[in-house]
Amino acid sequence: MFEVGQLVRVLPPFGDGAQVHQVVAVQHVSAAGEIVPEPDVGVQYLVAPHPLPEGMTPENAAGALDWVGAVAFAPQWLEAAN
Amino acid sequence: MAITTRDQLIDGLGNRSSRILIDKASLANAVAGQFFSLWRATGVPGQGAIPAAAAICDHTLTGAIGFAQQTAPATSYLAWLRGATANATMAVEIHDRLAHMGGLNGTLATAQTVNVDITGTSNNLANRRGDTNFSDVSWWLEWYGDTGGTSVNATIAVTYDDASTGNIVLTGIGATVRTGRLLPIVSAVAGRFIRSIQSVTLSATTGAAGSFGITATRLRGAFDTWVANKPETADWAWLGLSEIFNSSCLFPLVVCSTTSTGTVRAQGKIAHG
Repeated sequence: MFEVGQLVRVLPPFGDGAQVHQVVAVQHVSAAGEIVPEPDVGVQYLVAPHPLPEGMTPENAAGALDWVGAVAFAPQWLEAAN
Repeated sequence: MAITTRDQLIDGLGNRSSRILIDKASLANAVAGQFFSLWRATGVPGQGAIPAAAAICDHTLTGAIGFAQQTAPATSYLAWLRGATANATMAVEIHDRLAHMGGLNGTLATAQTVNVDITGTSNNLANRRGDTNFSDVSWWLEWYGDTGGTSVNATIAVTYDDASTGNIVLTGIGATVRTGRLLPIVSAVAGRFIRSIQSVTLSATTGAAGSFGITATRLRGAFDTWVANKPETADWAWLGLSEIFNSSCLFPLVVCSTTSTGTVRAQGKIAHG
């Protein structure tokens, strides 16, 4: 499990397992694969392509996900970078 | 025999041609600057079915533009088109739909089987796919039902022309990809071309299953429009006089200029000779 703000690496085949990314939001997932507001059977993570620039927090980045280019990853494609 | 002279071309256009007709209704929720398939648009030709398992397409499918099949040595060429679009500045392309599959699920973050392979010879595929290194073939992710609002990556497991294998990652597949959208799949290895696709894996759920699949096509001709509802003509030289092989599953796609595909209407001739 990862936390908002945590630095992560994206594993192959989606990433090279080396570059550092940052979790900017957690999404709860239902058994049907829908994104739901409350904790359910699973989670996935919106991950920014790079650590956020100075002055930008995951909280305010989450309001500008298109700008940071965040993409969702299931937990099996991520590992902690710190 | 092949059409190799102007006299043969004129004779084919004037005396031995198949008249073709396109009259496709608009698809909503398009994106400017992106490719959209009209396979599922209603009209003429009729609305193509959403494919299930992988299949090699041919001229008998609903959705294919009909033309008279020829007996060798007679051949067929896309030689004339005249068409109009309800949107200004559209590009309309006629492709041969070589193979397709559908039913991929936007909520799964595990490998989904595709197995679209164009190395075979059924339905005249050996001629239709063009160069033996598969460099004439375009590969697409094609949407048949809207997927969800979360942006994900897709990893596509492919086999190249030299039998080597690899993964192609499409990054940041946007939120709520709509029906008709075509995302190009381009080789990740310089000088290598895709001959088959084995699976697609999404990095996470998009939030909705939708439906999408893999499609392989070969471009056969195109025309452009500049003004809404003003017909433009593309003659044989503009079209490139592409040979239309027996069994070709011809269908239109567009490069959108706005947020719908708009009505697309055209007629044309496939010259035989």
